[in-house]
Amino acid sequence: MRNARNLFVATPVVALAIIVCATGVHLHAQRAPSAQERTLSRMDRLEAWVAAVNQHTPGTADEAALAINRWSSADLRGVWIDVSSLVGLVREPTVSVFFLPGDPELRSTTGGWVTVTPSSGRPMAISYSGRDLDHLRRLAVPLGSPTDGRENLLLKRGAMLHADVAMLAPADARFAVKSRTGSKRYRLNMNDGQPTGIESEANHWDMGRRLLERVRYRDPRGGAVRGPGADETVRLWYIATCAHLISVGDLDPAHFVRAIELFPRNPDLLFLRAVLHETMGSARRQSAMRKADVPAGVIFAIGSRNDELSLAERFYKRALEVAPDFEEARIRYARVMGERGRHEEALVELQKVAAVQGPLLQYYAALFLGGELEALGKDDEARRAYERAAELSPTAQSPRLAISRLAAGRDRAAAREALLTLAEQEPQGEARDDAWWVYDIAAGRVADEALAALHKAIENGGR
Amino acid sequence: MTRCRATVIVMAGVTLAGVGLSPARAEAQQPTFSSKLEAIRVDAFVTDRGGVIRGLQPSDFEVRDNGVAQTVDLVSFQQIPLNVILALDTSASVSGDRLDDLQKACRALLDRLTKDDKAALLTFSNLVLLRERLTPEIARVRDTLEEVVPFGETSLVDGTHAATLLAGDDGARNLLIVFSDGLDTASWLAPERVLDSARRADIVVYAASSRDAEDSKFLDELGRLTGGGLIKIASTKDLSVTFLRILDEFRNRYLLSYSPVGVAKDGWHRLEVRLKNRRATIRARAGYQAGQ
Repeated sequence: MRNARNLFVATPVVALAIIVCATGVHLHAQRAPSAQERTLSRMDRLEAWVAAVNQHTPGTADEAALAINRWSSADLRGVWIDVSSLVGLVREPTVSVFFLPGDPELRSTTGGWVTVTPSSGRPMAISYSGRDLDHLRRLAVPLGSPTDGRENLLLKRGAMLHADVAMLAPADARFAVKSRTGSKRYRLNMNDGQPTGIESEANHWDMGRRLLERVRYRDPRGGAVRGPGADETVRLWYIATCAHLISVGDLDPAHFVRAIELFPRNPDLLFLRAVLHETMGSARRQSAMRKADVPAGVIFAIGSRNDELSLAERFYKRALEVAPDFEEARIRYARVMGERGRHEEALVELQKVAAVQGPLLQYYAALFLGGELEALGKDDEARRAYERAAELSPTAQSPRLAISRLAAGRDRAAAREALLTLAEQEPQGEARDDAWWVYDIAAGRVADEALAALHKAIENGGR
Repeated sequence: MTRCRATVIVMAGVTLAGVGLSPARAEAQQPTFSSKLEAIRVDAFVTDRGGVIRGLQPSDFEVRDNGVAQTVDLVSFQQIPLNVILALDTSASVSGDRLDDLQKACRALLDRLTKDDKAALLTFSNLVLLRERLTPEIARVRDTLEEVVPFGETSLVDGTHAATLLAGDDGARNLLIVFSDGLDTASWLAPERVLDSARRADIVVYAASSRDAEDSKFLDELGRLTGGGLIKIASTKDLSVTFLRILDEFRNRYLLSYSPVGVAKDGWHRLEVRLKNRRATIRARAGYQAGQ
């Protein structure tokens, strides 16, 4: 992943629409049956879900995904319980009562946001009627014996299905299905720094994460049982989905938090987590959050600008400790330090990536170097850095404006000339591009590549 | 259906593309740094209890440059042509009625300019677009105004910087009117550095903004530093009135001039302008930068 980050971002047509997501889990609320529940029995619903998982082609919003897209949060919660039981039955064929761990919640700590299981979230006992248990056993038959590991593939394919629903299926259909129970996802939409509304939907990202939590392997040589944190496909799932969320400006802290809990030393995930916080510290998101009319009981996991930038710096630093050659992380690390007023330190970091490869990263490195030198009053060096950025991206306005601003203090003719140089260049007007404008989402540009790797892994059995 | 990420959560079709300053060519100018120590010009708006005080003479003014009293010449405000630069936020949020109101306000202002005045037009979304350099052909500016199509995010600071560079060096008085309804979400330039550049320029900046105080800090400071001001508007409905008020106020300012004596040639010069023999509220730029 790290070596693939060297392409200029193609001119995207993407609105920075969603800024932050909150998760609401309502376990103990009064149940209200959804439309889906009224038409499908519990076991039929489970069977429909298993069929959808098996029919789904990863990377598409096919019929299976569109059908699941209409399910309510209560449906998802019910299915998650029964899938969990189904997996339990495969692993321990003789059991008839199943236990679910308490639902985790996203909590703020001094170290940022983490998922915790609250004291009230005790394991739940799940029991079935004899008829339902028989049905469950029939569904377990194709999943084989405890040593086959086929239930893991079901979980991974299920997580892929729910990720594809969240990524590809029309959101309007999810907004339309209301339910009082289950895990909901609240989306704060924004446009140009202004909140434009909050919507709730069944939380397919949460469903994907929950399914993957049940992935288990027993070492064939008799070792300990290993969980999702040891699984390559789970790792790919988190990298691909986190990159996707960054690429579309959909910032769901719970997703990134869990990714790091499972893979605390993965440089790509540490990097993406840092990008999440850097982006949440941006003016547009801070402004939208400040002005949003958030419903009672909903908490968006976004801190102050300073807190978010502090977290960003911490996670970039961790990524660089694991992978010192991670140049994009270093460039962004430097930018965050600069944003926090530590220009000398930022300059040192940027000087380490003087030989960075690829036009996009070269452009960012030169632009940010110019900014840090300018902040330190080294105007001549700053101008040279901006000129380098302008060479790398001749039509980008940011370095040209910076050059003109540097000149403005002593030679307004030169300042105006720098401005007009840009005005006279081809292409003109709206056909021009500046990678600075897509900085927030540029780190997610590997999403397609990462998703392709994930699809391949799943098609190959998810091992 | 295959992956179609861009359609999943798009809000307003914001295109993060497109950049640039269009070459609205006019005759080449020979700009110079106008805050020379040889002659400093200070636009001053003088009021008493809200009413403009007219008929003042040079001897009525006391101008202190870094605390040192200066000998003031006065140029009648009625004799000096204007260079009016319009810097307009045309991000996606300025569409529909807001755009209509904005265009209407600009037309009203342009209609009030005289044959000796010039106008320029710059728009900014994430893209800073120089649409017309300073030109006496006001009708051309008016026509160009109709071509504006809102899109994208808001580069308020970048756009303001570019607009200040459009100020003329032809002896006319430079007025920059900035309209924005948006928080800066896309600029590269740092606000404090653009403010530093603006205070060196011979230009008075008025801003009209519908944003809250937190979002308007830059414009507020810009107005204060250049001797203009920030006008908060509840909606764009009465924007024409606001723009005409700005123009009227600008026409009713005194243009003071003096050759600095007894002060350093370089650095920041703090300006104090007051009337010697009567009470008044005077709005003038806070100072000027000389030398490097």
